[in-house]
Amino acid sequence: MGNFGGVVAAIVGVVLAGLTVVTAVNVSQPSDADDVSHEELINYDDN
Amino acid sequence: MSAPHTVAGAVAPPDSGAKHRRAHRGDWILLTWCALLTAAMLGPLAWPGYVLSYDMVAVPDQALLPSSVGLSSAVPRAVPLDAAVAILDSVLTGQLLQKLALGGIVLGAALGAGLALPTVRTGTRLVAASAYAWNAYVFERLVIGHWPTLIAYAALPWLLILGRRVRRGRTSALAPAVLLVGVSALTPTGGLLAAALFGLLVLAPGGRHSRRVRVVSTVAVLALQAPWIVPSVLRPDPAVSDPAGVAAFAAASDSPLGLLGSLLTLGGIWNEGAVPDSRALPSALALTVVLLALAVFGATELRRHLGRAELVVLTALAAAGLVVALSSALPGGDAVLEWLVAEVPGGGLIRDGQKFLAWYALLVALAAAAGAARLARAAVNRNTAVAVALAAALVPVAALPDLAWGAAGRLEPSHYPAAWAGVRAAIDGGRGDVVVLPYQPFRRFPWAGDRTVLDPAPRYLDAEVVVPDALPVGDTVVPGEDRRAAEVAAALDGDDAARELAALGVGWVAVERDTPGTVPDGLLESLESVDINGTFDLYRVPGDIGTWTRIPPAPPVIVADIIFSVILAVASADVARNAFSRRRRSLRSQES
Repeated sequence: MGNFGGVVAAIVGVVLAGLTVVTAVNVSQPSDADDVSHEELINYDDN
Repeated sequence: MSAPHTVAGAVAPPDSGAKHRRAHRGDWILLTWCALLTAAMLGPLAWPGYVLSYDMVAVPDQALLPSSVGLSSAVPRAVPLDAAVAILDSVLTGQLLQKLALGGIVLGAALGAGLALPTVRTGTRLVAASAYAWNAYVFERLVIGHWPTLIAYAALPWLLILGRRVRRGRTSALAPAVLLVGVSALTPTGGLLAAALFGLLVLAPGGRHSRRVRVVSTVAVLALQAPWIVPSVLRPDPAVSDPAGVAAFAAASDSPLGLLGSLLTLGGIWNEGAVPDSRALPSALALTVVLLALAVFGATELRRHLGRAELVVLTALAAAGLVVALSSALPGGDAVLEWLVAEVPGGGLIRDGQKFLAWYALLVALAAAAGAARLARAAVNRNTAVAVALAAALVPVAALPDLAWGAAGRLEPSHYPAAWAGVRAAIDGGRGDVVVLPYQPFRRFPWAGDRTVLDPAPRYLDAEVVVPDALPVGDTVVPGEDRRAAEVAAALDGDDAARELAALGVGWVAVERDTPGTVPDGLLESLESVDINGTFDLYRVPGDIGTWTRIPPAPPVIVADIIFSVILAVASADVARNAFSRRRRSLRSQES
């Protein structure tokens, strides 16, 4: 792979790590998916 | 786990003893990795309780009833699964059975995928394991509660391995394959997924297996579907569904990638409530696309690792699954699907086509592993090769972090209120069947996290329950197939509900008080109170109770179940005999 390959691999690794951190941080934020519907008829696709 | 392989990047030593030790170490590394994935995903299941999520319902002790084998007015969607659960939870308890099943599914899927490529190194196996066990398909099917479909999903890589061995003339692989097809066939969808893969592998031209093996395999695979086919075909009302279900259960875009992109990245379930939050994140999608790119990069490599027939069969099924999932978006697709669902008995199976991505998921996982192997080969040294393989194995987890810890809490166990046990004990099943109010299929209990869940009562109670099968989805209600359920709904709206219920064979009315929904005005006043606790109340319907007789004839259904059981018993005995023989040979070789 050589030096060039090593540099590319390092850059890819940093990008992947960055995406991982951003995803993990965003997923850990509370979402409004936990809002509970109070309709009398419960839909199959209700949360 | 006996195939020879080495840790990623390692050079195989010349002596066979060292090679064997490395292979053994590789097996343990793979097993440990798969166990870690399973623990990370299902950790909360270590706590006591029952996981209740959409269609996933577990109860302490499910009763073995005629409906468990399809002898009821309902379409046999969970047949013979309900019978198997009723028998097994008598030994294991319902709680333990559910946890073993879910754990076994994830561990089995990961391990099977990790072992499915016979010629790759351990690091690459980890990629296959992660990519197959940790993806949007698994998340969405777990959360929506389609664990029986996931049984077949977990069986697919093993069936690929066993199909390969059968094609090489190893008849000892036939029995475990038949066993896996049988376990998958506990529900119709699972049966189709598993039977198609193994059946086509065995029937594909070439291979060193005999004609007799082809015939025996095909007959066994087809006969194992009998427990759900026979009651479906013989029910008095045709097993066709309302075409409204096609649009309601069509695959949907669950990410910014659109429908095709969502399906290609293994998402796209129709139910947005079962979609992981991370599917909306650009960073997560970028990681998912990286994995897909790795699979594309490795696709040409797969030929080096899989036999021609395996590759052709798996690719053809993957393509077919994608087409079925996409079909409602294709020109004329809706019309074809609606015709199939409304006119062809059993055609309703094809709605919710996203579930047929299971074959494609296996292809993607193996191709991604092959891509990682190709990258690792280009690495400058062993450490880089190991780093590449590990990074690739972690990408699926990084792309879907909300699958961790019980799908971010959606699979937390719950406990039934004590009142439920009291109602179960109070019902005398000999005095008619049960209707549970509110008369709608889904519930939202405060003691189960207010999550939407199929009413557990039909499986909890030790009596037949008439289950409403008209499904509210979005702004529409998809009509069900059960005539009796529809007549009960009409009776509940009538002026003399108690008398009409009695005529329909309903002897009991139970009322769940802690879930949204309504109870018909005046009905309860016309019933006899049996157990009024404010949580799960029980009433007796007065007067003579009729009998509902429009169900499939019992003899052929029972014969189908006996055939199913005999095939599984014979296959199990053969597996045990082969394992015993191998053990004896191993001991003899150690002694000599």
